[in-house]
Amino acid sequence: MSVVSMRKLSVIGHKNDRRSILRTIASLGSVEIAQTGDMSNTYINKHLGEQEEISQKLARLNFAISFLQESSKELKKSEFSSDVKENQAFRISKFGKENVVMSYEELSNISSDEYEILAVIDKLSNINDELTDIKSKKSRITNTITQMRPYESLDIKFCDIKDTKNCSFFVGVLEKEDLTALSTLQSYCVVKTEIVESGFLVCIISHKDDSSTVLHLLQSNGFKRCPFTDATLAKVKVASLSDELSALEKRRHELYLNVSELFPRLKDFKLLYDYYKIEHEKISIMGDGRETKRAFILDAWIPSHSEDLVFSAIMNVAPSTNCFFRDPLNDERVPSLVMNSKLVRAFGDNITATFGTAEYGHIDPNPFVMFFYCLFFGFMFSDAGYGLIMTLACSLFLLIKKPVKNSGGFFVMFGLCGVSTVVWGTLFGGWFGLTTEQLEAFGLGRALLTLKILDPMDGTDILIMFGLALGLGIVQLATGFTLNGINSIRQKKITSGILDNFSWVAIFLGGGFFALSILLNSSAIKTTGIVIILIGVAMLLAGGAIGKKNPFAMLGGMFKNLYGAINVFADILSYSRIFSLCLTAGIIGMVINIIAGMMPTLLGFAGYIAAFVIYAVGHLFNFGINALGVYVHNSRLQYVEFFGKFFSGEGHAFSPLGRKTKYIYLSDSLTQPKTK
Amino acid sequence: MLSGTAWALIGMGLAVGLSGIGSSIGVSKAGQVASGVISEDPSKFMKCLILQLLPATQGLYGFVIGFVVLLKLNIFSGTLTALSPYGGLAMLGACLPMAIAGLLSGIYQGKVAAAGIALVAKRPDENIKAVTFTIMVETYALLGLLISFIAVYIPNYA
Repeated sequence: MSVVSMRKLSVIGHKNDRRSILRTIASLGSVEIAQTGDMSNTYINKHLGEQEEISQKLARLNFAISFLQESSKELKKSEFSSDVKENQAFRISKFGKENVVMSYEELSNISSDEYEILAVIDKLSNINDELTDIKSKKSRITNTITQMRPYESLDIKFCDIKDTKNCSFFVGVLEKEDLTALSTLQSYCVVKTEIVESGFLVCIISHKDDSSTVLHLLQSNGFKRCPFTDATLAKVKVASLSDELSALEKRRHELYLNVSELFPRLKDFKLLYDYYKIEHEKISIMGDGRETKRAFILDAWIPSHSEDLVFSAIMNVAPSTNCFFRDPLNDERVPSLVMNSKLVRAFGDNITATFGTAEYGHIDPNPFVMFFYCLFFGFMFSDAGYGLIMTLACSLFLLIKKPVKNSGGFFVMFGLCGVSTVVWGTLFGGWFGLTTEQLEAFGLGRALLTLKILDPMDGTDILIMFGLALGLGIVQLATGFTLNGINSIRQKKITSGILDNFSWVAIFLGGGFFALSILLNSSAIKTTGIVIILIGVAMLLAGGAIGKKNPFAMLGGMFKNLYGAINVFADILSYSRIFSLCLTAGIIGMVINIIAGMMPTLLGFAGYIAAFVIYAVGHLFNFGINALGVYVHNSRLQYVEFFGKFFSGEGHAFSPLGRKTKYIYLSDSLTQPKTK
Repeated sequence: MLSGTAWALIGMGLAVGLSGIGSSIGVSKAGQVASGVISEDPSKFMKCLILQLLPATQGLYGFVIGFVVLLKLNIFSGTLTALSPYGGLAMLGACLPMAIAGLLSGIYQGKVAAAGIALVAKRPDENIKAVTFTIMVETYALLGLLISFIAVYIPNYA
């Protein structure tokens, strides 16, 4: 239940063996490389050339993956639907992490196909260049066609639109259909006018003496003179440009279909990317490590139970290497590794990890988080029907998708929370928001009601449930104080650890006895409770005074500890949200049922359809909004109230060499730990 | 003097209406910021949506209290229970914790949610922390809900 104990490994070996040792370490997945401090007579060789080469390969692979991703969006458009439907290869593409787990050796095999894979990437790169070229050409042609369209009705070639000896010829498009300004002039003639898409086409001949006046008048009406001089008719040119555009579009279509044929290579790109990511990590480690002319030094952290495994693996590949193992020093920042079962890990990954990592030497909070998160989730969600659906949906997902290596933790977590919801919902009689009367109307409902022990809509039961919510909160807080006490004792802060933390456990325990005495009407239990509370208060006061020599400082410390009680009581009250959310889910469900139930009476036969829609949409909404509310409020109870007592989350998570992959999961050889 | 039943219905109206206003303002503030973030990076949609939805719950809590008032007035029997003016005023008072806490916490939670969405825009991995900050505000709406529920549902307002 603790963070796994660690050992520091120092390796001194021949430089010729360094790559094979790093390769072995990467394949084990249980060694985190540590920074090696300065050492006399050693130097650092950054291996910049090799780093640059690997970075370039990673950039090319990255390009290929994102290019396929962009292409897949393009291929989903309707224009490709008939062609792509027959291309099964495209359907299996997936751009996130693959549901694949393999060993480092298996991953390394991909490097033998490297040249072929990089050649495919070159092909993709050429296709991308051609697509970019097509895009710019299409844009240019479309622009030209748009400009040329107004002149399609002209029956003279563009090159023939020119002035004569005495006349000026104006052909262009006016923004406004307004030639009244020209009427003041004597020597002009309008040859042609026509309304076109972008305005008003005009062809005007004027005497050369008036040409500047005509041009000025036309320009004041937004005149754009024809810019073309081609030796063709506009309609012929537009037709030829349109043909060119179709040819480009056809080529683009072909290119994307060629890309779709390369989709099966996506997995190879991903494997090679992850392989080179690890290679890059190894080269960076070599670049940061100290070395002499012939030897190198490497420091690392390993879980203590992996010591023999790591040692024998290194000896196998480099027998002349020296390995030194030692325990961590007090001032060293040691990485934390927690090893939990699959179920506990689901909560660790999705709840604890988003807050932080346990510090080395402290207790692993994950099993407690799993217990309390499940417990509170069921109480808050409180509808057994919803819980059943949640568990079934999560189980189905896990059965069908079969996520590898803990990647389906989110569904495992909500599956378990669903089970807790079924239990609490049964105890509260919550089944899809049905009221007691509705449940009594059928056999199964009556059977389920026999299991109901508390009713959230009953005056007395409300207070019991409210008390139960606060009581469960007190149990969680007591657990938090206990864990903090244990952590403090481990750090040799024995007196303050016991007095500051177990004082509260004693007060809660005494309070529990006191409450029990009221239920059982026993004065003996009552006295015991009061005595335990007083012992707790005395411990709390002593905790404030201890370690201080000045009487005023002692008093100040005692007051501070007593004042801290306000925070503890505020924390306890915060657990009232468990009951509040339980009410919300139940009552909204009930309202949906009542409204849906009224529909057949109001609307007759159509009412049954309306009722079905209201049931389905209403419960879906209630399920969604309450699942979200319960998820976030339950997380808050863990982060603020529970973790606030014992868990800072400031640890540094163990990050072994070769496990920071982006697209696949690597198997590792971590065995079951001995805990510290 | 209004009848007690009318006072109780005014209380119901305040609980549902004010909480609804609080949620609407909160959700719209968060939604405006979320749209800005999504215009830059559509992949953050789900994270922003979760934050935007958080101030929506006050409206639901107000709705729950409104429904409980209607239950107390036996609305589903077809005739409203007649309350004395004092009983009705007392029920109106019982609705106020939810109405006031719902209105103000909805607005302020919306502001925190908007800031949280801005946080997600820069550091998407920290979304759970943004959610935690945002639900701190909701605690007070939940306390209002709890007190209003107990005060409306348990006593006999004749």
